Amino acid sequence: MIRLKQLEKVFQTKTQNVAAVQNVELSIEEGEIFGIIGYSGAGKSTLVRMLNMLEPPTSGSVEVSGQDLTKLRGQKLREARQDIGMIFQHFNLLWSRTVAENIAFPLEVAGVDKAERETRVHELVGLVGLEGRESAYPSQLSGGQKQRVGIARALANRPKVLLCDEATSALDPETTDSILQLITNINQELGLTVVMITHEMHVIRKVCHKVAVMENGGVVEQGPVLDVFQRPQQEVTKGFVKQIAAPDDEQAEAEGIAPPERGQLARLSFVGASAGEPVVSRLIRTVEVDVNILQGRLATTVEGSYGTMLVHIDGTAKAVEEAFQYLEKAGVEAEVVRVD
Amino acid sequence: MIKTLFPNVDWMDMWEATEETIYMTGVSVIATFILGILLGLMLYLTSRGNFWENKGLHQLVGAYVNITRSIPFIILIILLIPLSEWLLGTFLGPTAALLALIVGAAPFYARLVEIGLREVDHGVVQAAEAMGASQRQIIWKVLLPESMPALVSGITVTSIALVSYTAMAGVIGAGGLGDLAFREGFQRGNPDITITSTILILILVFIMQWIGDWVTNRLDKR
Repeated sequence: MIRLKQLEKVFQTKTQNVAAVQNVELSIEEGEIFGIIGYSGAGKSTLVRMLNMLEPPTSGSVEVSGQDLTKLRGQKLREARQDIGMIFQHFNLLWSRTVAENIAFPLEVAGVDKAERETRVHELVGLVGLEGRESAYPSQLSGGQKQRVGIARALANRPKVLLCDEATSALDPETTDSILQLITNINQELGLTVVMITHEMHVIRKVCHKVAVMENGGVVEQGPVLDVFQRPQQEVTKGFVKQIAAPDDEQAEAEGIAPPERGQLARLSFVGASAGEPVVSRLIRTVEVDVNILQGRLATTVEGSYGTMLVHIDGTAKAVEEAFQYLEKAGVEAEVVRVD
Repeated sequence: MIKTLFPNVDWMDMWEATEETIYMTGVSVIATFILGILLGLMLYLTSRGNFWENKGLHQLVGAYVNITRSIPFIILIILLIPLSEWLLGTFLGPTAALLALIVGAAPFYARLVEIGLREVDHGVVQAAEAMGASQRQIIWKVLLPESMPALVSGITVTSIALVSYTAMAGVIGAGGLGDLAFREGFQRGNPDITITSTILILILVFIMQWIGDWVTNRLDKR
């Protein structure tokens, strides 16, 4: 659906050239929700804005539905853009227009006639759950409602791709969840390909199938969300994974725990299927050990769960050894934690 | 009562002068609104990072705006005499004054328009671009509607300035309340005529301000 090849964007300032995005190779399949995560300044916003040529790339190609956008100009480019919806962190609604008029805006741009516009606006208002608010102005809406208008507006011309530029970053956690739910529903019902830019791991975990991690303008890691969670290779990725699946400050937390008189402290990492199974209770029934849970955190993603748990496995040295073997067989990564 | 307070006021003359002032202000406000928006759009669109980014053109328009805006109006009228003779065949009367009024006010208003356009959220313009809107559509459907309250409050300020310009246009025989106050009131020593003219000008200004504020408030949905 979307292929980025050798994509590069260099901004020229008076004193130097800054490469905001460099050497990006990405491939996004149809119907996928693809997340791009990175801290601010990583180049992710520039990257997503190159997907509809709001930011023309310095070099490389952007192929959407088999069409290289970098080769399009004028009317051709504008037509291609009508197939790519976009929503923004600050919604970017026209305050001078009502909800219905805002949603009708892209239809006016595309030259849809008035009667058809009205029917389509009515459908879209229903789709995003804003019935009864059609004649309200954006200033009379809450943040979540504004983003719903943004989504309806982005979908007006039945695009094949939806770009979300930090779409939930200005919203409170509850509203974020409802907007993410709406995006998931749209993805499933309309088979829309969604590209989400975010700095929140939470967003990736909730809705994305695949994720790319960006740092210093490049994609440092990408793959299915669960794989990346399970085996983060880069420091930056580990940092993001920690946000949701590990205690905030592992080392400090472990420091407060006294070394056990007998047995071992272990950090268990559950990934995918193993996270859904009662591994610990089976362990104590199978092996002669007691398991005392000191900390734990579990996060759910679209395709499964991921979590860590800090436990004290109490028993004879032999039993503890057997416990580690059992865990390994059950698909749980167990590592010994030493405290002094 | 009125006869004793204003013994020298000829109410027919006064009414005629009021009509002349309204005529000059009205026509020049409409022309300034259109011309000022065109110039303001030019200034905005040719500035850095905009559709028609063009340093040369931007500076040229900017220089024209700054120069005409800086010339004292009374001098501008005199400077424009040859132009009005060429264009209108005469440099006297209310219609000849219109040229000077528009040339004097449009650049001033153009700056206010430029400021108003700059206030339009850039994100909204980008959203429209992302939808595939053309530059024309962005100007008509985004830039102008989104800056309309600023454009209206700007034209209100400009039209009040225009009322005082019409008073100065008396030097080319434009007539109007200012001219009446000067010739009949001051030069002939009839203070009651000066005071009546002043009161009428004030009423005119208050009405314009009130209409301007009302329209601005109606338009502003922020």
